[in-house]
Amino acid sequence: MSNTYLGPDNIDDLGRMVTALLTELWITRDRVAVLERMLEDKGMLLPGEANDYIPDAGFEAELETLRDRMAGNVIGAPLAARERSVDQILARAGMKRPDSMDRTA
Amino acid sequence: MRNSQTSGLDQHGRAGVAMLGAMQKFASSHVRNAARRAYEGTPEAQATLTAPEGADRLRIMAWVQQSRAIAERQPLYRIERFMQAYVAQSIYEFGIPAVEARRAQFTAEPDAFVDDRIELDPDLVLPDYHDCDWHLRPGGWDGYDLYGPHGVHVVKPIFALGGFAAAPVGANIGQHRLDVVAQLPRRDYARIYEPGCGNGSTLIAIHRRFPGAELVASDLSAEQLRAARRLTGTLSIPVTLRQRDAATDTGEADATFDAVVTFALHHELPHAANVALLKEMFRILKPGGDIILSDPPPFRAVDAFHAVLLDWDTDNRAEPFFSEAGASDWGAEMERIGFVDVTARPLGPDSYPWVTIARKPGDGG
Repeated sequence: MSNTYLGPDNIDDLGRMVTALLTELWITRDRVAVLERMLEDKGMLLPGEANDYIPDAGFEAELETLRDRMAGNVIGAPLAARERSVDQILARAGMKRPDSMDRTA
Repeated sequence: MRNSQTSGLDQHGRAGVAMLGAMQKFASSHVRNAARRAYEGTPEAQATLTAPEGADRLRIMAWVQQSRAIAERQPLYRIERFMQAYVAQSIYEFGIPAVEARRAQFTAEPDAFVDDRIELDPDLVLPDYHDCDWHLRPGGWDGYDLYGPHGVHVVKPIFALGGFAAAPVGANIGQHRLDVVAQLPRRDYARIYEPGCGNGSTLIAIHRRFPGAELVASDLSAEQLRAARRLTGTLSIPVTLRQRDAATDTGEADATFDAVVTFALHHELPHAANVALLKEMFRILKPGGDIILSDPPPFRAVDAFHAVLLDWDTDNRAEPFFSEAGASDWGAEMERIGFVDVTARPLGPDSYPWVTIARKPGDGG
């Protein structure tokens, strides 16, 4: 028995599994952020509150930044092997150097 | 301007939908841009960047297929398309359970007025092409009774974060609808017709632009008409909704409408049905009446890489007529039917939405 079960035509399946894990990982990360925010705001949690929590616009913007970073780190992994300038790396992270900076530095 | 979102899902559903939007956003921007650079860096792509001048539908499709073969040899293109497919499937794989988890909430919403204010036609013969899991939607438009809230709480937020199909990242579909109806040349239309009204979102835009106009809209799908009734009813927008096949017979009298608006409809119909629909719209328009069509751009109006992306939807996102529509020229078809003063142009980035405007000859005053 070779203990080999997957073939080349399972590459897409592996991609789907990795991407599904990204969704589940973010759901947990979002939950942690929600719990932290609720504890900061009220110092306590009631049953079901975290489940029904709707972020306000400011908190949602913070979550979006975190989420985009996570998505970029995972989905952008193939780009990291191909486009490796500092500005490209920063752009994938949703960041950039100040305009005044010397790009040759 | 961003689309504002208020999720009706629980934390798991809300966060999962948001991540699907983030994936879509990253894939459709960073990965796509890198894939485009790799594509355009090949000598064979350089030779075919734009559509052949004056080409007919067959030559346009040959150009797209040639370009697709080049793109499919690029690893980043394949990764970008993999992500598009993953998100498109997850909209249902993840989204349906997320909506189902809140069934009690969604079915408790007041909709007692829904059915008795729609003219449903139990004898309507649905055309064969309607039998499709559109956009990978299991069971098609009427396949799930919560597709209305699914559209609001799953599809819409993903679209708002990451764009979708022909609409680029940052596209605001609500603003698109307003921009499209604002292209109509007059402000005094008394009666406006919308075929294929779907969930009623465009009716909101039409009403905002023409608050005094009587609105009549139709769709093949009873479930979509119910969603349209809920939406327009919630916003107190008066509209008559009819279950009709607008490509065969709207049931409307000759020359009784001052304007016709379509939004994201034509790529959902086979070419012959589109031509039949345009003839029917010509029939119900008053002389001097205006028509505006809005759809993804035709292939001839975009570059090769963009055309490949649009064409991909046909085989991969359950859009069986997307390429047929992309290779067509609705303005030319309308001129053959008898419309005059035909113009066509893009309204936003990536040539989306693309509008075609025309008039039925005569003086309707």
